Amino acid sequence: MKRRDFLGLAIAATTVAAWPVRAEGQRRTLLVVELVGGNDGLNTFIPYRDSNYRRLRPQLAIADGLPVSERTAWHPALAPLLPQFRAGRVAVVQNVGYPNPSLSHFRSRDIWLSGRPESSATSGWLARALGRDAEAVFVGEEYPLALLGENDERFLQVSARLLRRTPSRLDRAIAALYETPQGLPASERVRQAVQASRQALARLQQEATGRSQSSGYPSGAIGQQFALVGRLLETQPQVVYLTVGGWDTHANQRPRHQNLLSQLATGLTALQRHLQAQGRQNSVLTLIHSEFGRRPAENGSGGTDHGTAGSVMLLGPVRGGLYGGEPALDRLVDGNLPVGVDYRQVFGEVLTKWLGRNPQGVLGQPWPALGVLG
Amino acid sequence: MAVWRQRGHFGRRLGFGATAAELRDGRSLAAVVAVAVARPWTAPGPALGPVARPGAQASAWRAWVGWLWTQYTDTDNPLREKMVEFWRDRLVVSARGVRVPQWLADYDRRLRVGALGDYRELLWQVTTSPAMLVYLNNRQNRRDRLNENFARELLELFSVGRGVYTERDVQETARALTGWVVRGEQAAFVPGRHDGGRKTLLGQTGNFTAAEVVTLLANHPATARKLAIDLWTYLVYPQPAPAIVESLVAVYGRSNRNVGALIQAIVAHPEFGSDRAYRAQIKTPVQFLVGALRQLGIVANPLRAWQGLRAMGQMPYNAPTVKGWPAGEGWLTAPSLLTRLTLADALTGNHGDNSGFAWTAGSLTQDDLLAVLVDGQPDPVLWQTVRGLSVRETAAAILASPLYQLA
Repeated sequence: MKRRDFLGLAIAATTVAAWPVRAEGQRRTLLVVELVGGNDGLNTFIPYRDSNYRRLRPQLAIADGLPVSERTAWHPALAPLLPQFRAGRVAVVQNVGYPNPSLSHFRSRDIWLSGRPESSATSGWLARALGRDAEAVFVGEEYPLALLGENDERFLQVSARLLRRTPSRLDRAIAALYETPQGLPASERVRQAVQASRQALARLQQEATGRSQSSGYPSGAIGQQFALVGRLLETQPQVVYLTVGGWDTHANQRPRHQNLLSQLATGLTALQRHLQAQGRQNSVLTLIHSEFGRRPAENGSGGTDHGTAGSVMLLGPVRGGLYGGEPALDRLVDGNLPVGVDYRQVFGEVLTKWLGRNPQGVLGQPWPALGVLG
Repeated sequence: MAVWRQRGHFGRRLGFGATAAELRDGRSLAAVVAVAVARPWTAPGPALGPVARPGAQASAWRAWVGWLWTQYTDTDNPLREKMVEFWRDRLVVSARGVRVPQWLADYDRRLRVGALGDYRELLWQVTTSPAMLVYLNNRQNRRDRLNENFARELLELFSVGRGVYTERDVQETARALTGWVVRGEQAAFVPGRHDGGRKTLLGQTGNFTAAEVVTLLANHPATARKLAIDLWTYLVYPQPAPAIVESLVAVYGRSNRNVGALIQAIVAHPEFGSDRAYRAQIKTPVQFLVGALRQLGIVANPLRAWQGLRAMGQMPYNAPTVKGWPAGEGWLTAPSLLTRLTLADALTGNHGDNSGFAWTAGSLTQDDLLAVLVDGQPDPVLWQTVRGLSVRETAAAILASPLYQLA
């Protein structure tokens, strides 16, 4: 089934549910995991030997990181992923950003997702690269610019909101509103459109749950999103794009960040097991990024404010290791990290080496590769 | 309650949803409309600076988006704003086709100034705007090397409509429209590119210029009919009875093609607030988001709001084709609707700066919310569901409800 024009698309999840599960073949898939809100790179990949780190973060410095090199330690919540790193399947790129960094979530996200910092954000890097007939699915709540084409073409969307395992009181209220037929013809049509999508998603979800028991997807919201992604990957689309929110840790960061990283790491690990069971672990490349890193100095509420350079992680058939150098905590610019690697270097390499596309048309100019992909 | 229904309906059709203050407005609807259509547009547009090379316009784009967003949310004349939105969807230009925010801002100003006035003047302003000259290629249209793109849409979409003109009329119209170019940032007429010869179109003959063709088309009875049906559909319901159309055509003629007069006649018509019209439209994404912000006084980061519109599939000046956005039913898509459920929570919750929206619920009660958002007339399910919810949750649930998606 081909990608559908958004406006002609009645019910995305129904379409995805109808995609054939491919038992054979090794079509390559790019899985993008976008951490929306600005992940704290410094507490994810920790410069644990740098005294500036502890000086800037008297409360928030992570003391029990897992050293992976002389200078860098991982947040302990990432422990489930360490075997992947030791097997050379994880590349971490630090100090990633772009010139004249914006500290606005919205502007910075537009810059990353468009792949064009200097012009209006009207289309996405992946949509431009994929072209019309690609199969791609977005899993999340708000359709991302990355998958929006020059002429407003869209790929399929599966709404993650409907996936919540432990719905809030508001979620339950909204669900109740949509379970009862409406008296007016127009609002009944609204209700039915939403319900049809909900039911199709429930079907997908049920299939995903069946598979998740053997792979060990965690039961939280993020884990369930990964279980669904695992199900979608069985159809071997070219791109699956997942957004995971909650990374804007201005306050009370320690437990929140710990929890997010833990869910992320266990979700990714379960997904790898799932792929391995199908012999597909080398056919899926996972790219994880965020719109910016966070301020090196902690703030007054046990959190961190918006920053500039952040980190990118690639998981799968990569040249494992650490790239992009150490965070220059002794050379901060207006209190923020200097950018060492342009994010388009990473995107460009993914386009060239993984998706087999010419990056110049997508990113405007060639960018020097980092060598993270073989 | 009957008053809320009347005011709420009016607020949705002639605006983006009534605020609490607008619901309490004691004047008659006729008086409100009379004042609104008489108020000219005089405010300055956004300061975007000169046109820079493509690729160096990012700040101009952001300034344009921010300015446009402020017009939607902060306007004190929602009727004009709603009509500007109508014209953007009828006299379409697209950011993808125009690519110069300064030209879009200029175009938007032309629509604002002319939104409620003489349709002939509006059509002329559009015809001679850099944005339209670029978008539908009329700047390439020159004597002996015709480009019919604008001429064809002018006839088909902007004036008389299909079935009235022939292919020959398209060519003759194109000839009359030759000679216009964009010089620097301005539209200009170059006599050497204009075809000054005799043309015959829609049964009339003369050495027509662009201005004369626009006048001829604006005065054509088919244009009056098309505009009457279009405007009635936008403000009331589709497929008006012939008697309604004829009465509006008469108003158009009597008033020298005055759009404001048409609106006054429509609002005064007994069918305007009828059961057939009430809650019969499905809100566009812009109506949903702008309405929620205005009605509840939510403050939005413009780029964040833009991303919400993008996710729902409707960014201003990005209509998929020259024919504009899909009509109401076209928004019954899962992405458009499901994103509204997400936004309902983002708009009203306490999510910090990452949500991009800030709402102070103040002393609002559930009853206040039901009055402002659904005319105090929720369906029984909605009424039952919001019981036991907090004020913020109530607001979110109403915004997410099937009922709130109706205009």
